[in-house]
Amino acid sequence: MRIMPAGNVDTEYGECIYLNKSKIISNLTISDTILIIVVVFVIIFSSLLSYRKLTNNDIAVIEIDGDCRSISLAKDTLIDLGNGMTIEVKNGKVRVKESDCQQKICVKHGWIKFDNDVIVCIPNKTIIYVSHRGDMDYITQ
Amino acid sequence: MSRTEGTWTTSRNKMKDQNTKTLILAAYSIMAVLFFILESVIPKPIPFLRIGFANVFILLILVQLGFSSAMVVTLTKVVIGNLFLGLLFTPLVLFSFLSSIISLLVMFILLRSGISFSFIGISIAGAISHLLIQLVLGYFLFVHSTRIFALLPAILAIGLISGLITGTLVIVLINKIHLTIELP
Repeated sequence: MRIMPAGNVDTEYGECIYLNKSKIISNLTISDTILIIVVVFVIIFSSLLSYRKLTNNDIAVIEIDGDCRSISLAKDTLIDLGNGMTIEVKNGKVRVKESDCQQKICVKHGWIKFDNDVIVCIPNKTIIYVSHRGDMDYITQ
Repeated sequence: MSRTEGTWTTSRNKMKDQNTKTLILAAYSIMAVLFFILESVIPKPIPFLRIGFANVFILLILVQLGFSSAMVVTLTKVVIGNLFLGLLFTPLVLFSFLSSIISLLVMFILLRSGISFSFIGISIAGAISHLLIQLVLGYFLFVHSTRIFALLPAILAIGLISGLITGTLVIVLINKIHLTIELP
């Protein structure tokens, strides 16, 4: 079996059945440009939507070594988690105030303001994120 | 043999034609499986971060030999590729199977429709539909939480970039190489 350029052998075997001239040109057609612009707009809009501001109905979910507990963000509190970490809820936001871990990445992370933000403390095996009340069926399992 | 000279040659040509189509089908299937496995083996931060080079060959054979041949290449890619990756008969194959077939259908419909998409537009649509089907399946089968749709912008961006790359490759292959296979 040899593979050769189409010019030298029977071109009928290389024929393309759904091919018309407009598909071979390397420039983008108008439809392509419209498709790309629409996709870019959807990317921008969906990324803006996922940065939803928190509301009073939201809860902070604290996962310590697999065990979940939830805290309402509606009222300001200061909670000692019992593993050396202290969590502060204020103005509908949540943060790690103190931690006994070495690098203190969880403390430096600051407040969780947006829906898709997560605080992770690896030495204390703790994950903190924000959720809706409706999601609890899944989170508590 | 009571066959006249004319019918003999046409039947021989038809046989040669059929053999050539089978060879093209085999070659494209091998290339699709090869690139599918190579892409999956390369270490990457997110599992679905793939360019989709197999899609180049699926689109090429869709253009050259039609829908049924493209379906054969797709099924070969899914079955043989996942067999070699050790994923056959796991739930992950369902993702691969459904998303590959639906993206093939999307590309076929766009190719047959009168819309003047070039190969770049068709591969972008194929890549995005492939990834979207995986996202929706992931929502229904594994993660029953709407938080998974936070991945939507990332997935659309990956689909856009990979579609641009594969579409350009298809145009280059169709224009410059335009391979045909001759029997020995």
